[in-house]
Amino acid sequence: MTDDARAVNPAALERLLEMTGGDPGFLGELVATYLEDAGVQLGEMLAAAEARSAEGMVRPAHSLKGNSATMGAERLAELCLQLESHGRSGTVDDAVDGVRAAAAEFERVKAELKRLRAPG
Amino acid sequence: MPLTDRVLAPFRRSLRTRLVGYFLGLSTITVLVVGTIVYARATSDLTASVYDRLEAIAGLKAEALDRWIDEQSRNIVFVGVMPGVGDDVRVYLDESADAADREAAEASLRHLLATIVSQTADAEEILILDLDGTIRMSTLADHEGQSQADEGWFTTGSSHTNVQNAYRSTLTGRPTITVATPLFDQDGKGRRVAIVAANLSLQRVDRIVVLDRAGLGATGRAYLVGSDGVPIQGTGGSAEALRSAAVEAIVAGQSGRDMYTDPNGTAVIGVYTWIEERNAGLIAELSQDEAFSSAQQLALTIGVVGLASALLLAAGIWVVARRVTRPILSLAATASRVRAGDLEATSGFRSDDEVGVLATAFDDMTGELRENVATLERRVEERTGELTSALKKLGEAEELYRSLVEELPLAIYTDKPDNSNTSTYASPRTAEIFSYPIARFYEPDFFNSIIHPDDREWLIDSVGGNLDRADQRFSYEYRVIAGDGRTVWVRDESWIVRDADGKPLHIQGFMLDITEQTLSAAEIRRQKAYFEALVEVSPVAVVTMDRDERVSAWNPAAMTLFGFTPGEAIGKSIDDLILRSDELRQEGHKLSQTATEEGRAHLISRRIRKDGSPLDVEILMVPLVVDGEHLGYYAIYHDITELQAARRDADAANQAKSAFLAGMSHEIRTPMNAVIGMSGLLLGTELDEDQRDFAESISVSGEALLTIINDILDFSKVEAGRFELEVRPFDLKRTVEDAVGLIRPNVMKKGLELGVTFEGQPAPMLLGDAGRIRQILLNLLSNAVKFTETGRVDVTIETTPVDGRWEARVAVRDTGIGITAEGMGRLFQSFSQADASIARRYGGTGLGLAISRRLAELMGGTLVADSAGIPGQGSTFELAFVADPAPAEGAAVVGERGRVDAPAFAGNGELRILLAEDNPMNQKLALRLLKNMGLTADVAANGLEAVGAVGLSSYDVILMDVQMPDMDGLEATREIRGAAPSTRPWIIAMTANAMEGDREACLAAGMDDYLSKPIRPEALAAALAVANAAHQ
Repeated sequence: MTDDARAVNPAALERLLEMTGGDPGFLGELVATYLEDAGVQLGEMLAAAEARSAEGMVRPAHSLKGNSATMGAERLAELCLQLESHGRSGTVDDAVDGVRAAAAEFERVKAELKRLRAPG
Repeated sequence: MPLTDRVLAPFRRSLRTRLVGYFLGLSTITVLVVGTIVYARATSDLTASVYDRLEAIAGLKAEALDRWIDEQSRNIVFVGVMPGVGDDVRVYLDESADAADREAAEASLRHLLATIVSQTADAEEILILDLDGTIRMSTLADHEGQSQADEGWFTTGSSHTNVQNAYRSTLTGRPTITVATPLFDQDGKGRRVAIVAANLSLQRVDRIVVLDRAGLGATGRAYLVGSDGVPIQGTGGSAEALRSAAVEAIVAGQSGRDMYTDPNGTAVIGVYTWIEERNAGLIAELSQDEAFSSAQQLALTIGVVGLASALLLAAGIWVVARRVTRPILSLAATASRVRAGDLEATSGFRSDDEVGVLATAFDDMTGELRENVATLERRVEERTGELTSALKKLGEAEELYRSLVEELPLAIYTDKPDNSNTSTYASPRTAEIFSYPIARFYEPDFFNSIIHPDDREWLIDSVGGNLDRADQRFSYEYRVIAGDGRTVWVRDESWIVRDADGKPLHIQGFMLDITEQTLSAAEIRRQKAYFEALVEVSPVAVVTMDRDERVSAWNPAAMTLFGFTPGEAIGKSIDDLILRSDELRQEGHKLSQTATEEGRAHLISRRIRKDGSPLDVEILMVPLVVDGEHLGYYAIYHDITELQAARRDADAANQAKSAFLAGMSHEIRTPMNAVIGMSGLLLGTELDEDQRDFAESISVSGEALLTIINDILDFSKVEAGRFELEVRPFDLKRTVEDAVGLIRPNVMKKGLELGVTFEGQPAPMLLGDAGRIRQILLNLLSNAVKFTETGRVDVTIETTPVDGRWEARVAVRDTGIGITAEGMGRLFQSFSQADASIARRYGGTGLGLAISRRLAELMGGTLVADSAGIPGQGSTFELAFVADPAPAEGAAVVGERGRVDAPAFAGNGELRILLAEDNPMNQKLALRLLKNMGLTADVAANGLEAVGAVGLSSYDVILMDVQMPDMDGLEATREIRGAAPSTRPWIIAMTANAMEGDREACLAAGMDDYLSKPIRPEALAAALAVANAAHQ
């Protein structure tokens, strides 16, 4: 969480790789799934923020938070946690900015993941 | 009643008469019918036989007649053929012949004729006629010279012999039969010379027909009738034609049989035969009386015999009926006697027949009646006796009550039913109470005149008014000026005696002298007012209640505090005033109960104002007890709203702190688990020695850190009051051994000795939280190891049964540095250690003992320490608690969560798993982890799909994400549990939330286990191992 320089913590990915049996192919699959889902989840979050639907915010933010944490996208997970909390407490009036920030961070995560995956 | 009825009445009444009457009528009819039938049959038979007989007779007579006539014809013919007769006749008739010859011939002839007539009675007259028809010679001389030429017999007789039957002779005028034959000369060989004829005598016919009465009985007769209807007979008889049906038939030339009236007017049965040759009819008749006399005789005999028999039988019936009815009449007579009151009457009739049974029953009934009457009389006698005795007792009782009334220190009275207070009775004590002669009270308006002037008017009004009121009883207190000038206070209790219509008859009552009581009551009232004033002016809200918690006093301060005025509050239940919620009511009752039991109750709570707003109050309640009698409660309310608000703020802050701490711990614990897990995985790979050392170091540090974090988490939970025990059956011995086993490597490492001793009676499976007990023991053991450099650590377990429960003492003794007296004081406080230097030297949070003691207390047990404070002698910690034995069947249900060291599933690989997870990435991840363990799973993307999948095939384990769209994991679990309770998959929740409440929610929904996300392979393997064990 303190490492602002890197969007993705490589250690987390390493751990994930090991945990799942050290199969880089599977990890690639997992990353692809993550990226795909994350796009959908961000879309849902944006829609919820614009509609000021606190309820609609919780689920995609929660999912993206969990997935991002697993992927080592700690900054993104943090942003999603905030949005999820806003959703749970019903304060999503200013969430649009938060979702935009998350989307921006996601772009970084995406780039980073691609970069990390490229050599390995 | 019509005359006939009156006459017949006795017969109708008498069974006997009716019986005989019916029988006689019936038998008479029978006899008549039989007689008539017999008579008719006999008559018919007789008729036939009479006809036959008469015909036979008629036939015989006709034959006899024929025979006779034939004989006469032969006789005449014989005359004609006699030698010489023809010649003599020729001579006699030849007038030209010699006279002498003629004379001789005449004489010879005459002689011959006379001889024939005289010899045979059958011929009346013999004639010789010339061929002209003139009678030339006759035995009856006067007939000579007459001509018979016109007669039939002559004409016919001229040529041959013939018989002229029954004709009326012109010579005699009588019926006659004539036989004629021609007479020839030369001895009959010559020429015809004359005709000879004989008129036959009808006497002979009479004899044949009429006089021969053979077979004709007494009244029968037979006779000949000519074709003209005149009877043909020799003697008597008329020349007139006869008149009867038979005669008419004969005249008509008919034959037959018939019944008719004969010419004499007698009813006859007859046969008539027309005989052509005789030109006559023969009639044979018999009087019907005679002919049918035998039939009449028979009918008569039957009638007589029948009627005689009927009479005989009737007589018999009469006698029998008499025998039957006599006992009935006798019974009737007896019944009349019984009715008339003669209960001794009995029929006395005995027999085995129906009447006998009736009579016996009747006698039995009479006997019963007799006994009943006797019993009744006896009872009446007894009752009379009782009545007499009761009357006597009544008299005694009356005397008793009268003396009571007169001796009671009361003015007992009966007054007229008006407001004059005029007595019709006043008890003797009245005079003493009021110091007036008793007679005065009987004077109208006397009593009213001695009532105290201030009380008189209202009292008279009240008494007058009472007469119309329905109240049963009235009570007044008033003053009366006595005869000696005293003012007497009386309590007057009265009631109105009314008749059935409610009209007042009397006023009754009594007066009690309450002068003394009244005066002392006034004093009490004064004191009461004083104390009431004290309460009134009290600045504290004071409320008094009766035993039912009904408000009896409510001071102005209470009004200010709660808003209810005393008028609104007094008489109402405290429940309806300031305890207007079920919770508060329960609390209120508990409070008053405590006050009653302990003499005092103190509580800080809230009460509700009149306007509904809550009010924080401090309440002091004491029971009001006077002379040992519990009268009610006295309660003081003190407004502590501000105080409470401050306190609640503090509590909230504390709770927030705990929640934060719990959350933080969780946030730290998750990555810590990862660190430990990773290092564990790392150690499972091929490493060189240095790498292995580093990895082990990471692992050990991680474990240490996790312990600290768990301590903090536990402690914060305990502090926040969120800690809950999981009470399950467990084996204490095994739990202790587990803990000892865990610490054993550390003990060995430090070169210490470890001893475990079990004492007392071995305990069975107990109910308790084994995990917490192990936690406490681990804490004690690790402390012991930590603070002991040399020597040993001993664990002693002692279990003792106490009243069906088990008392357990687990002591951990070491030979370490010990604890000083000062250190003992701080020992169990949180975040403190016996010595500040300890922390530096030994590390640790200082939370372990605090948590352990809290846990022990949570289990209802104790944790105490003992140490001399001398290094080397060490210290002793003892955990003591009491547990219930586990129910027998529960013992094997829950195995302890095994310690799974490797992230590989240790089961047999045959688990059927359903993964319910909506997040595609998590799906992939979980499937991969399972695959690495050699397991596969079906996937459901939400709760609905999960429920559907369970419906389709059966699963051993369901990994259930809690947060899913459409149907979340909790609901899906409830569905699955509700739908198929028999097949019970092991459901493991997977959730990112790690608070205790989530776990409770999952278990409450029917889940069996719980995994935190992100899922660690080790944790998953462990959970599946448990699931597999449960599945097995």
